Amino acid sequence: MKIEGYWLASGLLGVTASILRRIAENGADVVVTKSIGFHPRKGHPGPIITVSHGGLLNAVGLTNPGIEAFKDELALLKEWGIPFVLSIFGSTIDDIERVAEHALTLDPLALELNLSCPHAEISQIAHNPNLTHDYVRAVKDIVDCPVFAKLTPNASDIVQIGMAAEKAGADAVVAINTVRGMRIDIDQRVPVLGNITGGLSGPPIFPIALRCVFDLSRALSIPIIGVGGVATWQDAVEMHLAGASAIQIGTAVLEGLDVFKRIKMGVSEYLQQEGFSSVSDIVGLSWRNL
Amino acid sequence: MNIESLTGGPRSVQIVNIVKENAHDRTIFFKDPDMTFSPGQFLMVWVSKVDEIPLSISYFQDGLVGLTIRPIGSATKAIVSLAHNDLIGIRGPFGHPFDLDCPSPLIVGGGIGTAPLRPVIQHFVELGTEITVVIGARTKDELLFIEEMQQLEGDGVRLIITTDDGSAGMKGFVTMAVAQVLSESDIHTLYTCGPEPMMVALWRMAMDHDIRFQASLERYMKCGCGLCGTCALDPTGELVCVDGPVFSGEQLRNITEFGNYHRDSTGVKQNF
Ligand SMILES: Cc1cc2nc3c(=O)[nH]c(=O)nc-3n(C[C@H](O)[C@H](O)[C@H](O)COP(=O)(O)OP(=O)(O)OC[C@H]3O[C@@H](n4cnc5c(N)ncnc54)[C@H](O)[C@@H]3O)c2cc1C
Ligand SMILES: Cc1cc2nc3c(=O)[nH]c(=O)nc-3n(C[C@H](O)[C@H](O)[C@H](O)COP(=O)(O)O)c2cc1C
Ligand code: FES
Repeated sequence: MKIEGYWLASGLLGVTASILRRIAENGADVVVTKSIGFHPRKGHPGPIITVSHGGLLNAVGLTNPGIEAFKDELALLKEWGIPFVLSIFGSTIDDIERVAEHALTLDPLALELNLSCPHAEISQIAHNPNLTHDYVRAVKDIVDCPVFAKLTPNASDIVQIGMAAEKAGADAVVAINTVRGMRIDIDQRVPVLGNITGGLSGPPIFPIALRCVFDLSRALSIPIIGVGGVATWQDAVEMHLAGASAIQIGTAVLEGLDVFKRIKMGVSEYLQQEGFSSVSDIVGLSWRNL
Repeated sequence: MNIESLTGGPRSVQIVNIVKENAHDRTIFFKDPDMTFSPGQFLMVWVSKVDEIPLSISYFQDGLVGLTIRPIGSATKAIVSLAHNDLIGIRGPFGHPFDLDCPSPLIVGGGIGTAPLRPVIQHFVELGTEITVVIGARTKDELLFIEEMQQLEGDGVRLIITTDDGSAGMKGFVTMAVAQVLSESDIHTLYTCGPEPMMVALWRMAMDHDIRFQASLERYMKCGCGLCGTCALDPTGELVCVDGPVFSGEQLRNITEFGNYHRDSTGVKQNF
């Protein structure tokens, strides 16, 4: 598959085929599903979202119906011809292999491995290059579609993790997942999120995501899919300049599903005005210019 | 992008009054002077250390807000056991409200579904519109706002009460009373909230009589503001939290899951 365009990020809205179709019809080039595991999973008690300093904090806790029930949704996406990437997770290698095996029968464009949710027990994988390598390799060994590794900015050295994923055969890395954080209500004097801590997303994490994409893009030879705080076409241009071939948009869907169209149009006008013929001309240009 | 306002401006408020509506249901009141509200909208309500759930606004006047709760599980039981001065977290109001442009409304509440209809009734009473209200419940102990409605009866409100077991009002389902009203009165719009099978039956009756229909739907909600997708409807992908909870009869025509199934907390389908 071509790694380009503006995609829906995993976990935002993407739990049924109907809403994913609506998002695709509104301009998303690819939709990434909610991360799916083997068993149905309720997730954390509410509140599962709150807000702080202009950013969104979430602790959904990987709520999902399990791969078996989700197959019906994937079959519909397939039938409707919606380009989708399936995000999967597992708390052991066995687990993620089982999900991947089931997933394959539905023929996704690619599998995105969520190795990095900061508020679930799987959070440790993408902190460790060896674990990252083993998870990616295990899935690569059993599937023939592209495999993406989604990384966390909470790792002490994201580039080491990215390199481990590349070495294991990842076809791209997705950077970044949310940044660990929390919020306390000053009237009730307790943490707000049901899970106490959660992941920060939205505009405040954009500079962090940009730094990660920039560093990864310089060090790796596989494509980087940039995600984190992108809400405008200017953000998208910056993200491409840092080294992102494709961009995922999550929190900004809150403003309306037309965000994909808005960003796409803005980027293409920018390219035209600046005399570039395509996005690929500017991918990583900021560090190539150094 | 203003994430604060898009997620409903999370804040804590203090309970100033609690009213016993019947054997089980309670209305809690708090003050939130800056809130704006249209009948049909709901709040996400957080009880510390328990959960956050959607609740309709059942009272709104001069900055005083009321929520009427039926205790059925951990969060709703925790809310009805709160006391005066206790704090709760709220976000919102959220959602697409009722369309109140109607000369002759019929308002039909089933069980706790009567809660979001109270501000609708209030709206029409203030306008001086003549309205018919049907309130139904399984038994007398589950009826809501009956005394208040009886007091309004002089002000152009025609009240019909039904109970499944006949312990108060007419014995039987609300649909029976509605059939009678539709056969003898000229109704423009039927407003309803209650168990989905009841709303489906009413929707069919409204279609048969060629009158407008407005129903408030209930689906599992985690975020309330169009982020998580748990409340998406098949096959349109409309979100109950943003595009609803109030849907018109024409919209419901396209919702194949209406009356057939909903999704539980994990997203697995459950038949009605
Ligand atoms: C828009 C809307 C307005 C509502 N207004 C009112 C109201 O005014 N008064 C009232 O008493 N109830 C109202 N409800 C229903 C209320 O939200 C549920 O009864 C409540 O969430 C149950 O939570 P619990 O923890 O007490 O019970 P649980 O034991 O957790 O659940 C019992 C059942 O309630 C439903 N439920 C649980 N959590 C949710 C959730 N987050 N979202 C939707 N359904 C859920 C499920 O069907 C579940 O099987 C409304 C629901 C919606 C969607
Ligand atoms: C409510 C919510 C749920 C999320 N769920 C997932 C998930 O299931 N799997 C995953 O890999 N990332 C998940 N994420 C992370 C996003 O995919 C994305 O990496 C992150 O939000 C940063 O992008 P943004 O700032 O554009 O939202 C979730 C984010 C949010 C806000
Ligand atoms: S409750 Fe989250 S999208 Fe509707």
